[in-house]
Amino acid sequence: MEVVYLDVADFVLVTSDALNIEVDEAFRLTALGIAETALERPALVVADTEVYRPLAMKAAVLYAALARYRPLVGRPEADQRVVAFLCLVEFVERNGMELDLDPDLAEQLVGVAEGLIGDSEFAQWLAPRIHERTP
Amino acid sequence: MRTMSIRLPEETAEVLEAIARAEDMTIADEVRAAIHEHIKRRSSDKALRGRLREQATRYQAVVDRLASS
Repeated sequence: MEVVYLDVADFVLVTSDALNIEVDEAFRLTALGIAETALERPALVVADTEVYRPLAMKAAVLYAALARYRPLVGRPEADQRVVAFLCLVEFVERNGMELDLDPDLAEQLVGVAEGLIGDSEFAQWLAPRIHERTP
Repeated sequence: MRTMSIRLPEETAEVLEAIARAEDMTIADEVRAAIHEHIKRRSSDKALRGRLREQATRYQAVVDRLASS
């Protein structure tokens, strides 16, 4: 199945809802180039080969890129992490899957954002916690 | 205002230049307006907006923990 990725419009809408601000304000806050770079990372192709597979790995690098590149100008780290996480959730669900509400999830997300947990390690942790959506 | 560069296929760049000339706008203005228009269109997608709000509610405990990190 072809993977569906998030774009800048999705990022702005997630930001608007997550931070409870108007869409225009979320657009104004977004460093478009940085957001694009982070959002495109899961789809990276080198020499005709997808670098990040499977879906858990793509979700991990999406969260890590958004949390570390910080595309929301002038907003605190916490806001960047909240928006990055909700982008991860939407990315997973848009691709027909769902993320378990694991009690250790928040600690993992903070660890990734702070660079204490690598992308691959996070992907390995995520993989068994992503499953097909129940109708 | 931030400066950024974007890579576009040659054909897309030519169309964009033509539109900008016709509308007496800069290419940068044209790109900004196009992105803004795309976001406005997407923001009227009620299914998407509802799903995003539902996700924020469902994962509220995680969001609260991240918000205090």
